Amino acid sequence: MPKPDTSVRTIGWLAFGLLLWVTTMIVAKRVLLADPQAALLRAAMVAIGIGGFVAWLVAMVRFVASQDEFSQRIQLVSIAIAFVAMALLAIAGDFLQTAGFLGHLDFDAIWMLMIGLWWLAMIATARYYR
Amino acid sequence: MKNRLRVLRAEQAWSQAELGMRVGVSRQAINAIETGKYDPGLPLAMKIARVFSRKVEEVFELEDGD
Repeated sequence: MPKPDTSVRTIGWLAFGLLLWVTTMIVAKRVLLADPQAALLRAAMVAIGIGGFVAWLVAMVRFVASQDEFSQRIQLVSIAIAFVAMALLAIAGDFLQTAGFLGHLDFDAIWMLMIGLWWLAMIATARYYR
Repeated sequence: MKNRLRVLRAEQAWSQAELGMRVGVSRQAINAIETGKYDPGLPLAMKIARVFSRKVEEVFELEDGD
């Protein structure tokens, strides 16, 4: 069974993954926003941006896997709640856009919304089990 | 599911954190089990029973409707 105390190593990987993700995202976005002409450079920036996120994803999976079964339950419930809430918002957004009440939504806004919902669900779930 | 965790823990004079450390889970997990908000999986239930030198059914008991 995984240990309850999250090891410094796991936290370190999580921080490193996050740093890598943020760094690659900023670099890739800045280069892409400059509208480079070379397709190879654009493709490389896309790969770097996605790669940085994958690094954080792997660190996050390792972090959750290192938690005990109770913490993993909280994560599972939180993600389920966030998924349903996101689905509801996506459907509402689709209808609002079709009706002309909502303009174009940036992918970054959707992503930040997902993270926000996940954290809110995690806080609510942790409070329920307290 | 009912459990006698709080009573057994009190008999040993263990804190929730201490019991959690002995069975490899967090204090919050032990608290959630004691308050009946979380039912542990079989390996954890067996570990808990083992640290009290009891059988699983002496620690955990199904309630009507479970």
